[in-house]
Amino acid sequence: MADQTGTLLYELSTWFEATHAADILHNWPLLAKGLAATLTLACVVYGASLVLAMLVSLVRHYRVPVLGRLADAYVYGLRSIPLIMLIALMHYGVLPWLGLQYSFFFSAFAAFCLSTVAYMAEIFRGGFESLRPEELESAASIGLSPLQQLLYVMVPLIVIRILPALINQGVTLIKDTSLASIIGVIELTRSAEIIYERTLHEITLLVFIAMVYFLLCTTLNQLARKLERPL
Amino acid sequence: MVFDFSALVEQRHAIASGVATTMSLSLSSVVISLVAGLLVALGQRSGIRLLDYLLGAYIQLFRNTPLLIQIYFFYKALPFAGIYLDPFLCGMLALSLQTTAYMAEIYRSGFEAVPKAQVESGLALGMTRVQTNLTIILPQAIGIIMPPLGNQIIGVIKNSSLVAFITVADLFFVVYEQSVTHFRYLEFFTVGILLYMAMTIGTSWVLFGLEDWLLRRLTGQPSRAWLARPATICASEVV
Repeated sequence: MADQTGTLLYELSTWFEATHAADILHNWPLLAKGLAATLTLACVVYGASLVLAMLVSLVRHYRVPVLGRLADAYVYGLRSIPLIMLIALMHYGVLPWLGLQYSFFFSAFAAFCLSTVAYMAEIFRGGFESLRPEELESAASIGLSPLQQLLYVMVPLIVIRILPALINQGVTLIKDTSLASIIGVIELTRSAEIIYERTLHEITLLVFIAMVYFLLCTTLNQLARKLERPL
Repeated sequence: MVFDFSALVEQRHAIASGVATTMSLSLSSVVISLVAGLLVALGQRSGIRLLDYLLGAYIQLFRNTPLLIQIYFFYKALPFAGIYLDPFLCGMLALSLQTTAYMAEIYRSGFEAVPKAQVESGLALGMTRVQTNLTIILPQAIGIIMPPLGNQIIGVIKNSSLVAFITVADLFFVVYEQSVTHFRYLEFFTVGILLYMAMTIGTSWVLFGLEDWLLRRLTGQPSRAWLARPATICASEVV
């Protein structure tokens, strides 16, 4: 009996060693720092993009003379280029040219904002288009001013309808932050790279961070699904 | 800073080969995932509980992890299994697997939009499940499926730029390499972006035309007037 337990423990320990899970345990501070950077980047970009996308979509919705056309072109153009190209252009080309070369994080922030605002403006546009004429007419008929109509009638209706899509955009953003690793932002992907470049156990680390991303994204997806149901 | 496009003109052949690689990679991935996505969606409707469960797990797994990590994983893990793939094939595999997961979801949503009674009547007529899905349900679902499918196809062109990180010399790789060599970042990246824009916007026009033609063939009337569509590539991304 004792002998059997000994063998089982031995087998378990060899299996544990074969997975190289110790790499993760030994390097957890770096991984935690990477996860924190990923979440910070995603949250900061998400918050800034929400505000900017609202402005862009208002400009488009009310057809402001020149700005409206410019915003159309921006949303159309930005959504047709790969994000990685945008990150590289911002970090190596545009920001140094403008003299705004602050940090890797700032370059990533600028590039992600540029693209996320374009995608979010499209979501907002969908929200504006989902408003039915009778909803707007009834808002006008009870004597609300245009600003009041926007704040008390249009925005609440739109937000409820586009919330699942906005959360999906957040999921996409979390996955896309892995691209910031190429310009040297030490987020989750880059921190895993740093570790496996040293230990050469790539698969362990890649599976581990894939699991972390998976957990983050499925949690948000479940939230989106729950919000979608009662509507 | 003075713009200087002479290095760019000098390297036009390298850039052209990058464009060719990007296009062949995207095209092959699109073809594979269009077919595989349909197969996965049909598998989910086969009525076999276990198959449905496994395919659902596959879709969730590939939709909820970054493509970059999937590409790295296949590039680094396959040799351990004794499979030595060319980087191009490896990138194609990762790209196709992820796109298949997305496409299967699109097919599924289209299938589900057609009333269930039609499947039952097809089965009652003695058709097999696959036959019913392909000949009765799919033609009706095409109007719903086409726009998001088009988005996904355009997404493949954009996502294909990530294979540069496993040394496939696609457009992004070439542009990056040349810009570093010649120290002309702004010029090379701008031209790279314009080339990507030409590819994605060109593809979107082809897809609009195709959708219009297909809907006219199937329903006998022109689809939503596609010239009057709002100026967006992926309007249907919106809820």
